[in-house]
Amino acid sequence: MKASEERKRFESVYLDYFQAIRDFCNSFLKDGELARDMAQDAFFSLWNNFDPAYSEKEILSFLYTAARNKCFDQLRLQKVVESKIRDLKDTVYSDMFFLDEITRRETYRIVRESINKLPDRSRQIALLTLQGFSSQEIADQLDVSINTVKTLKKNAYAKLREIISNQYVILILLKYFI
Amino acid sequence: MKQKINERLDLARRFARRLTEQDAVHDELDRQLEEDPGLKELYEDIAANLHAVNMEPTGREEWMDFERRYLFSGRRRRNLIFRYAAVACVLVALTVGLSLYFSGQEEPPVVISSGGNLPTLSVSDQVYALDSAGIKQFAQQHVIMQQTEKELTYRVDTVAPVTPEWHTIRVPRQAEFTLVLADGSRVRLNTNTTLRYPVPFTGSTRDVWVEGEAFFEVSPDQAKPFVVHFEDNHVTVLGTAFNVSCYKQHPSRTTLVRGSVSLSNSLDSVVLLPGQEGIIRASGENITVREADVNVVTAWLNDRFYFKELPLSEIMRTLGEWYDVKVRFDRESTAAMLFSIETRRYEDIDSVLRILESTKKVSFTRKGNMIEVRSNL
Repeated sequence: MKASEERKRFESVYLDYFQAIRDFCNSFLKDGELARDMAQDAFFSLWNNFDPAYSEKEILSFLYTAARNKCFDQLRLQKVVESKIRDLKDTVYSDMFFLDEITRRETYRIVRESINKLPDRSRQIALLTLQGFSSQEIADQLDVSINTVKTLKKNAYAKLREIISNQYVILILLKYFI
Repeated sequence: MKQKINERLDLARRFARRLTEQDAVHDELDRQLEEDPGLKELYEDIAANLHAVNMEPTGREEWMDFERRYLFSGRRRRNLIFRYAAVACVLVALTVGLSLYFSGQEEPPVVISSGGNLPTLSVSDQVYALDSAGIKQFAQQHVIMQQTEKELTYRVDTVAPVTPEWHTIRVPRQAEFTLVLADGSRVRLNTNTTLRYPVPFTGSTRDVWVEGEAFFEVSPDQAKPFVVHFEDNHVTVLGTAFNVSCYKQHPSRTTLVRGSVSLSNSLDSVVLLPGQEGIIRASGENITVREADVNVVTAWLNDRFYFKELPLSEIMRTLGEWYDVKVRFDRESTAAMLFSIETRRYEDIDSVLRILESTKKVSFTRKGNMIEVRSNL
């Protein structure tokens, strides 16, 4: 693969996973800017070890592990304001915390990725619903009837589930064909 | 562990599917949740916080920032002054007669660089000219420096503690230079300016010393304030972009473009708002705060002069510094005449003087390094 193709591939990896990794770091550091720096550092590590043939899971596994290590380095150097992480201090080093955080960030990432694949109208409805607005509130906001909203919701979610499942099915299939 | 991570990646997808299920569907996941209360608690927490998650896709500018910071292209960087508000600028005036309590050494003699107009970098007793060839060899462990003709970038490749070294950059007349420090802060140095800084930053604050003029864009780090020192004064950066002009024997002027800074001298301390500037005339005096014209103060960043209703004496003083000439006025009233002029920073002073002459109010005669100014009125 040419260098420029590799860079392009890495760019799309970056854009797809950056937010999840940054939020992951933030749960360790409770500092948005520092979390962003650590996330970038983790991606840089990936760049230095990058093979475009890596699967999504291998890349994600690498990134979460690298990010955790970068955060631990920061915590060890006491670069983080102590008071912010006092509550988490004991738990944040545990494997359980690590795995739970991965689960959390990945769940949100998948929902986000799938929602952004929906057509505009469906995306809008899905977003408003996820944000906690009731059907009535959405109906008022979009100036349509509540029945329309209910139908739109049903369609949006059906599409969303399909997107998520398809990814899932593809991943399962890949397991059999590779 | 890798196996466990993969299990969680799979689990997350099943959680995502479950979260977008509108009707209760009893499937394998539900059974799993019933059997494992810890897992159920995790799922419910994830579900409860879903509404607060940002669903916007990551913008391209985020990638471009990463690309710029980590994947050096070797090309000159764009002028990034007003790029985004996250950068804090600190201008610190370095006084030449700096107290050297950091090193306890004698201040090395002012180096007249052989290249005349070349900026120089001093580290311990080694002096490097920052020419287009770039710094070839540099011996400080874990510190990586990359230099193009007008810019020097530092990176530290480890998070382990590194013994800091003092670096001093001197920019001569008719030159300017950009520095990117190890924490990502960018400093643009104007003519006749010296900046002294530790590499890397250690301790609880990031301190630099300046004399001359510089525009700082400081990388935000709430845990480690960035402090710019000049003479007995200092500016503490609270997240900001600002210009500091502090040439020797002149009142210093600290102008805030964006964000927030606190400016202090031995007597007084003020917090500046964007668009304000703090003037320190002399040691032991209070700080004067007034409204600034940011465009006037930062014209030099675009390689321009911008004098707004200034007496000719002040205009000629600035030109004299940039072009290294002396000025003599025929009368005091000539020196007091007000001018407004905005122009490129030309290679030679004659071009600028011609622009002033076109007002028909004054004429200039050049005798070597001396400019004589006469009023036509």
